[in-house]
Amino acid sequence: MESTKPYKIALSFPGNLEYVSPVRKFISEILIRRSFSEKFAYRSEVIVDEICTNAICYGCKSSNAIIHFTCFIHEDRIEFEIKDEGGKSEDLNRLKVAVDDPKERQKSTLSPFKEMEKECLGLEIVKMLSEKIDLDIDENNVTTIRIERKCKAVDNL
Amino acid sequence: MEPLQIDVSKSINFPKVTVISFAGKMGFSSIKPISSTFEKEINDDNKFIVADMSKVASISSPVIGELMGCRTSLLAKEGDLVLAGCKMDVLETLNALDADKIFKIFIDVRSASNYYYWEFHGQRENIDLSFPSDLSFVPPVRAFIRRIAKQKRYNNKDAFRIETIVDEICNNAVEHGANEEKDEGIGVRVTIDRDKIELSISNKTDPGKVEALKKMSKYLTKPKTSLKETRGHGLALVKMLANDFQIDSSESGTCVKITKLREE
Repeated sequence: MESTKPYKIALSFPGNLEYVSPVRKFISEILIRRSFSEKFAYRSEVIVDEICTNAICYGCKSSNAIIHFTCFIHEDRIEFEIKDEGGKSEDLNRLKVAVDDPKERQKSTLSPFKEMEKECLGLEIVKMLSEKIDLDIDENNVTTIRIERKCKAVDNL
Repeated sequence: MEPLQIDVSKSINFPKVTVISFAGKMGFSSIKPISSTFEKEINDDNKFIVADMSKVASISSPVIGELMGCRTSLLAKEGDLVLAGCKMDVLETLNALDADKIFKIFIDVRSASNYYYWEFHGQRENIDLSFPSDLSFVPPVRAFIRRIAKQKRYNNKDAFRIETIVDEICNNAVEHGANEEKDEGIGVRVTIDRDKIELSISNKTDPGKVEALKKMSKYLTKPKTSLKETRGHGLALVKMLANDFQIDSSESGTCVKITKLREE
């Protein structure tokens, strides 16, 4: 059992793609400062980019939408949590399917999904680079994604 | 060759912005329809226009020239034409002709529309950040805020000065604030608009450091200039770089508020 509390960094920024690049670099630099390898930091940066881009493109309906991003840094792993105001129902359905198991995806009857499969590639990369991904959509459509990524020996090669 | 498809709509989130979406190849034959579309919009007094280029496969130099002409007409009406969502091939052509120095180019229509509200309607944006009271977090924080300033088209000099201010104040907050271990001990709010950036940096006060804080506030009215003094130069520097600087310090916490005007 882990004895120490994680470091917590919380960030809120406008739902605008211009902010994605500064945010991903910010997280990457913090991880390097906290002695994670450059490889681990870069791969984490890719995750941050994907989830922030998705949150802005599909989860920001209003002009003043805000993205809430939290990063927990443990000794051996990191956790990201991203929250947006929630998008259109078809986007939320796509998100549910994309986060689910690929077998479930094949069973999906969502008609536009085939065409949009390419756009799910981002989440495929996120799933590949992380150990755990959870999705929570509340009654107001506020969407929260939590991701856990462990630091493994391969990240230090 | 299939004719260029042109669709005109209003931006979903920003109704004062007109979006002209193009699909296909923007060759010589498309100059006339492009020209008449812009003419109609300009006559209808729609002066803030985003050209959505996300479905454009290629663009020829005469079309770039035509778009420059349309932009000139819009500028004369105190409007503008910006480009959004350009694919790599289109970007390469724009770069080769130095047109990227003429047009503002945005990643998507939303960012482009946002620009108009930012530039012409005084839109302000807030960024809130909290991080542990630990010096190792300060360099990423200062770089983050510099990148935001740059992203928002502040020049290098302004961005560097803002970064310097953030560095000094955050270092002070870590050094003189309560050590909250790994919690979010330091809070930073950045409010940015076209003309200025406002910073509000807060931390909880360590009861044992109240005296040091009082001393720190003293540096504001009487900055140390002697080379023999090793401490206190940071606040003098901040005071010099900032246009407005206030410290509100109590036994519960300290909040430093800074305004830095855009100088370009």
